[in-house]
Amino acid sequence: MTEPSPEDDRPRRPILVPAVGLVLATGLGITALLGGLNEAPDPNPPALKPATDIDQGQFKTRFMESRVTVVQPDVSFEDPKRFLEVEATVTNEGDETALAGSSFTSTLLKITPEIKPKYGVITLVPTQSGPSEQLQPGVPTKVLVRYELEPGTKVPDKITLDVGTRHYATGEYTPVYGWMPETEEKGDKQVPVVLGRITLPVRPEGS
Amino acid sequence: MTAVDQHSSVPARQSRRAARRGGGSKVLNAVVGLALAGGAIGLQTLMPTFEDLGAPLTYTGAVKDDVDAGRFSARVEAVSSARAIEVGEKKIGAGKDQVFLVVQAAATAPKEPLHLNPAELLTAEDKRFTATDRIEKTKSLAYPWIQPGWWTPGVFVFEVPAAALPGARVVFSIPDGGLYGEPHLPEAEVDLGLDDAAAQRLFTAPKDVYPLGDKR
Repeated sequence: MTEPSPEDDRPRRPILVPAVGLVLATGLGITALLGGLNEAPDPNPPALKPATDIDQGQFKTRFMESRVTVVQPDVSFEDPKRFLEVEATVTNEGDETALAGSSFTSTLLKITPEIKPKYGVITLVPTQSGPSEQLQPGVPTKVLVRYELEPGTKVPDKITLDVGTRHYATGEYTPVYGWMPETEEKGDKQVPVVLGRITLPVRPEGS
Repeated sequence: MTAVDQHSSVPARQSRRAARRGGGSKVLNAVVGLALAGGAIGLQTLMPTFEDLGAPLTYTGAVKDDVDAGRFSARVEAVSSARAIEVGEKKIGAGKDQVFLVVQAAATAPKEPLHLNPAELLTAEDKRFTATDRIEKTKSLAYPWIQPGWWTPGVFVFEVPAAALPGARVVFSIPDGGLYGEPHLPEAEVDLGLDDAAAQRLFTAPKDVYPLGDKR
């Protein structure tokens, strides 16, 4: 008596639920395939301005200029070395002394046009009594980053640096703590996040 | 008697158990269960971070105290400031708005000889300034072996701005084993006892030159 007649209701109920389910699943699948609901990363990182403060997490940095520097050798039979030098004023925003080379220079992710010095990139904190490598907390410090130029290399008119950023890992869930480069997942790999690009004109040698 | 008692108590117990399975106690069980689970989750938030777990064991003291940190002892003899440090023939000047803080210290070890790390200056705002690398390590107390049996004297030089001085402490530490990270390394933290006036004096009236090394 109370049962509804099966002929009327049966077709409606079984179709609606699976249909909605199917639509949702398809939608979710397509969204997931397209990379989820996260905002798509901007393929062109923002342009950063020289001589203005850039917040790199661990550092507050002003890129001042770039130039060609010639360093005379200590011994007379060696040729002088030519470097493409980037000058920046770096303030260590962390609580501890940082080393300019391993922490600051590692945030300069890429230089365009590419320069691959044979003996690596040189970082130094110039002081009146010779180079240091320390960035003391809260003290604005002049840092020179030098890319050695092979003899006969044409000096570019301007260079572009991809600037990265560093964050403090507190070690809440992993045994890793301290200042770390900010990275993001791209494909299967962790790649450093590009905070922005800065273009500096290169002051030629002897001007 | 006893037989009758047992006989009558059995159904009573059963009925009580049946009542416990009833609706009211189910809710109570759920609440207790949730509270326990919640408590357990809550306790997780109290778990120290790996950074705290890896933190060294700190032994504290004041100037002229022998601070025993177990594997070594350290003592701060005197604190002074200078505009420049003279090392051999070279005179090294402090940077703009900064001063050299010279900490004369001594250290000994009870059993095994060891080296100290370059000391750190821990400011009132918990910022850590590592001893400056503008003075060679060989001129500091981080260079000689610290031996059992006697106190090895030496200095640590810090290049600091004025704000770092009031309430500053010097932290002496030792490097860890190398191959594996050693938990709970000891460190000795010496309060330099610098109030605002003393800090002001150190910053505004430093010695012109502090001679360091063989000349002394």
